Amino acid sequence: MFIPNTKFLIVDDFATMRKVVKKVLVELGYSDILEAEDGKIALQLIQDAANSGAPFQCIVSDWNMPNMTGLELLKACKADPKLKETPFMLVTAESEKEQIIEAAKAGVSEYVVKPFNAATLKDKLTRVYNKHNPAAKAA
Amino acid sequence: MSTALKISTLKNPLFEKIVVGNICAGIKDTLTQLGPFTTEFQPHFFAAKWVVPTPISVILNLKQDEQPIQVRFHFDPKPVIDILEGMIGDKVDPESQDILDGVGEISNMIYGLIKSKANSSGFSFGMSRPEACFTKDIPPNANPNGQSLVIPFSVNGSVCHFEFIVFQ
Repeated sequence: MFIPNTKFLIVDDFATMRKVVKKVLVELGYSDILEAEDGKIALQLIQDAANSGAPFQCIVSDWNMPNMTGLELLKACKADPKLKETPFMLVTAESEKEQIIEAAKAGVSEYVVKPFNAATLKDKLTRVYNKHNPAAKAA
Repeated sequence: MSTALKISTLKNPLFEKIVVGNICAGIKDTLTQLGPFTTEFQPHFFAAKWVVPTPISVILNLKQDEQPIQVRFHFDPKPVIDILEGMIGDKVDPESQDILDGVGEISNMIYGLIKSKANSSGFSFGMSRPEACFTKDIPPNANPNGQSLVIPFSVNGSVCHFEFIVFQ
């Protein structure tokens, strides 16, 4: 699982969902958590953090947002050599197969359907961590 | 999507049977996942004009094959506050903007599930960002030439409404 000082970014246009995700992360022991209200603002934060030498280590983003969607943000991160390895989880209210395939093709680490509970988010975070740290999974 | 079932008229037996079922299941399943909420449904009805009795509304503007359609949720604040306080684990001020933000997210989750269910039944429902407002702020001419399908439902005894509008 991600270590306690992992730097998270939560991206959602609804403050309520940002609070829900943050509450779960805090309950799991994380405190380095920043928020952004759409993909465009998030991308700037992600690039600035990477350039400053303190990159985000996990991004939890909504899909359906104004200005820049979560999928567009994911694709922008994957297109940037500095950001392409950053674990990226998409959170969405839609669970259609076509969407899941589209997200998988874009390189999403995990896909969470709303509403979810703390146990589901924790399980998905563990899977994201294992996917990006295969040695940890084997151990 | 040309192969999708059309939503051109609400008073279509296929639409009524399948979509009303999808809507009710979407509402009930989402609220069940959000907490110990009892959801009950009353018979749906059609209306060109009707008076919304509750103060909070959420609007999603959608299209199918260029036909504008609109989904609206109308909520009593009591269940919204109960749901939100369960989600965020904190008190919600019923007079604040927090309730509008929260009801937008609740509607987003409910509609997301309705959309998934309806689309797997052969329809082609799109997605848009829910816009929450106080019902009194909906302009009176926001529904010109519209026909509404209204599904009343209660959450822990408080009456709310789902409204599906097809513009003619």
